[in-house]
Amino acid sequence: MADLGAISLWIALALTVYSTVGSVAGKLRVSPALVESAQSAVYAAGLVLIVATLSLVISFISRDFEIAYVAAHSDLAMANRFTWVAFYAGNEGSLLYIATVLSVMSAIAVWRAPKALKEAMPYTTAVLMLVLTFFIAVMAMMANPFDKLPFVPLDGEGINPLLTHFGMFFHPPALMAGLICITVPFAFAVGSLLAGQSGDEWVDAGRVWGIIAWALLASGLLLGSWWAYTILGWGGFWFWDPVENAAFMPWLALTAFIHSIMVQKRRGMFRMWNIVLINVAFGLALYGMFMNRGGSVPSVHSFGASQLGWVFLMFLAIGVIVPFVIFIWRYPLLKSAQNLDSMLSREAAFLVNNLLFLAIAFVTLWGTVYPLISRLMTNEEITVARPFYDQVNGPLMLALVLLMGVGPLIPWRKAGLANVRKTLIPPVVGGLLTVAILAILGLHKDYALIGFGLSAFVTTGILMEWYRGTRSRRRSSKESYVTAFIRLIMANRPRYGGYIVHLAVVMVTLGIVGTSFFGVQKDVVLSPGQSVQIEDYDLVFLGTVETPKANRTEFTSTVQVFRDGDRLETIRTERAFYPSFNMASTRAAIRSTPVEDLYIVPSENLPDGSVGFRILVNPLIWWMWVAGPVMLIGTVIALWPQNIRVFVPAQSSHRNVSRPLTA
Amino acid sequence: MVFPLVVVVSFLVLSVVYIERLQAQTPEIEKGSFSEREAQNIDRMIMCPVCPAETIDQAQVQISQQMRQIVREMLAEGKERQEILEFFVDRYGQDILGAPPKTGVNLVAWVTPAVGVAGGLLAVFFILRSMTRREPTNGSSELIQDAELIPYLQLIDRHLDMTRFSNQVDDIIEPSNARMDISERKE
Repeated sequence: MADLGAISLWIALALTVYSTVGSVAGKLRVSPALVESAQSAVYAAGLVLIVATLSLVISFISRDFEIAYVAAHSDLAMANRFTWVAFYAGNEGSLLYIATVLSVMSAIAVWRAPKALKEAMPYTTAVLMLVLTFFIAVMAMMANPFDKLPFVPLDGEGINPLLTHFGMFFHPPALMAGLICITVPFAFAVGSLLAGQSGDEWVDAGRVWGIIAWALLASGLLLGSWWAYTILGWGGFWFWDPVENAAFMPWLALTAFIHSIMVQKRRGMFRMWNIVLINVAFGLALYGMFMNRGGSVPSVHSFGASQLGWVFLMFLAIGVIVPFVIFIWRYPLLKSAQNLDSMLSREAAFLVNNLLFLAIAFVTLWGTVYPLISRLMTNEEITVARPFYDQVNGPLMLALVLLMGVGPLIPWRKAGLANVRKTLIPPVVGGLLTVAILAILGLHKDYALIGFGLSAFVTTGILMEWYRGTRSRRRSSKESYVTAFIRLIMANRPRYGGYIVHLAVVMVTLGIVGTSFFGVQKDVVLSPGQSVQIEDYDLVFLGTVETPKANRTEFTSTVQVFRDGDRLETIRTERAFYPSFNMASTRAAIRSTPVEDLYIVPSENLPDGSVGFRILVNPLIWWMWVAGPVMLIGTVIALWPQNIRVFVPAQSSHRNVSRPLTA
Repeated sequence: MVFPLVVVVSFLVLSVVYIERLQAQTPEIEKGSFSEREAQNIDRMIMCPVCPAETIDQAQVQISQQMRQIVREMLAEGKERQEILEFFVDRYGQDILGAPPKTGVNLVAWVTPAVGVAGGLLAVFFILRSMTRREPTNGSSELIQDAELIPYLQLIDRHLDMTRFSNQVDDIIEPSNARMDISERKE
């Protein structure tokens, strides 16, 4: 199996090099046959990489400890389902995962490429295959997952206990897939620039792939937060850790991109800006992958120091500089087709949105590099961590939430001030009313009032839009409210799918505001039989059971939860100690409700049977995890292809309406 | 006319003021007792010296437990937040704090983002202004002053968009809906 895998890697490398060179040569020498064969090589490379992937999976399942990577990341005690996690637990395997995902995505992108991009596709293919070549070459030459040990150990070292969690099945693969997926819209953009196409041809494909990458990254980030919340045992979900930031920054740039690409799609504007944005997103994605592998900043996420760092840094430099040169070269092609009609228009709102997203990305990048800058300036070590990001990015994020409420209510082109004022009245009233009610109820935390008020503002705006649309459909077609609502959403999917995603963002905002400003936390040591009070909960610690397992000792503690004298629940929370890693992993017991989470995690087991607990009451965090599925539904609706049946009658009757005006 | 910009700027200013107020809200401390919330706030400003990128509030290792204890003891002695932070800086160096101090050279860390955002806002403003003042490239861009006409113009836009991307149109609304939109706004 090891040999099959290693050989596959080299074949894949040959195929991608051929495909890169072949498509450019075929294009320049006007040889359609060569271009076509280069495209076939894309599909072939995908297949060969899948073979390599499968051979590593089989090696894991058969515990072929002769392969160094298998020996380092699994042992006999590991359940087979964790093969999926062990696969990308280390540097080599994660590279193989990334390469395979990129090859499959490239194959789909090449296969489904729109006809309008025919001229650009050879270049796009070459860009995709060049990036893939880099990953395969690094693997084959520097970090081969199929390298063999000189001897066969009896047992492997085992999987990192922090990774044996449900969230780990999705969080790292979603993030890695999202990061590498940015290559596809980037390749479309660079491809059409190289081919000299003026700009709008790549927009549809770029938008679809951009949204796919965005959704993958967003799911990955949310799942990672959820994982941190349930397993890291401090009750929070976001570190502002350098590697988290590295995944967060490309997501921010992509969010800006998928908004501003709509302006180009609708109005033919912001052509240069979209190219810049997708380049920035790609650069940040490369930076993220670099941070994971030998970046200079310590982190809980990194794969440890490796000599891969400088290779990635070189590729990062190339990946930023070369597209920039192409951009300058093709600059004259990118003139806007239209002018901006007014500063008060959706186009302008989108630009402000872009600014805010990039500002947050910039602050995050600034915080990541500031320690290096400070060392150069003053020779003094400085840390930039959570307190900094909370203070600087917090207001920027609230500003974004505000804009999220205003932007969708402003029409394209030019808004009449009176009109906008009229549409803004209900949301503003909704927001102010919320603030007033909360203040009367005795809430006096300013920041929280702003957060809740803004959430209400945005939600009211979206609901009003839905209500207005549904009402007018219902009046014209006599449909029931439900049918009218569903048809409304289906008739303009990017828009209404986007609104659903906006609602999910409001839910995340609620969770963040709730936990940041109303969370209550207590650290206590309890011996069996003792009880503790937190908020209106009474907790009674019953005792701990110790269970020795093959690679760990599990401590299961049982706690009874009372509220107002009624027993609500008996919950169990777990702490396991892994002697071979000298590491403990915890499972928090979480009683989750839409109002608040009661969160209990054991932080240490003392010899006398007493246990140190951290207990938290986290209001509204439930909404944050529910936001994930809501966001995915919105994304799927936004991406779902508009079917022709809706389009044809729309066009004919549009003509009736607009003919007298255009004539 | 720069409505979104004005809103965003004023909001930013407001929230900065609010942060200052929040930070100024140091709880009153009686002798011997202290606010656990203040202790936790301080925990969140101090990095764990042995674990990467974790504050002592997050880290579960022994040293961070001891440091949390020291924070509480000092609070009980009536020490202020600033004194406690200085205590740890004296022992571990400046990098024990989670954020650069807002003094001296390190002010750069705080000022740069603000300058960046302000510069960005200015840039956006001037870009937008130059885009609106540019000579129209096609005849249709004459500024329309009559707000009543806007829904019709939007309809034409949609129609034009449709012919521009006739292979895939997704941002149109259905005809019945569009018609109703107009009649509704006339009301």
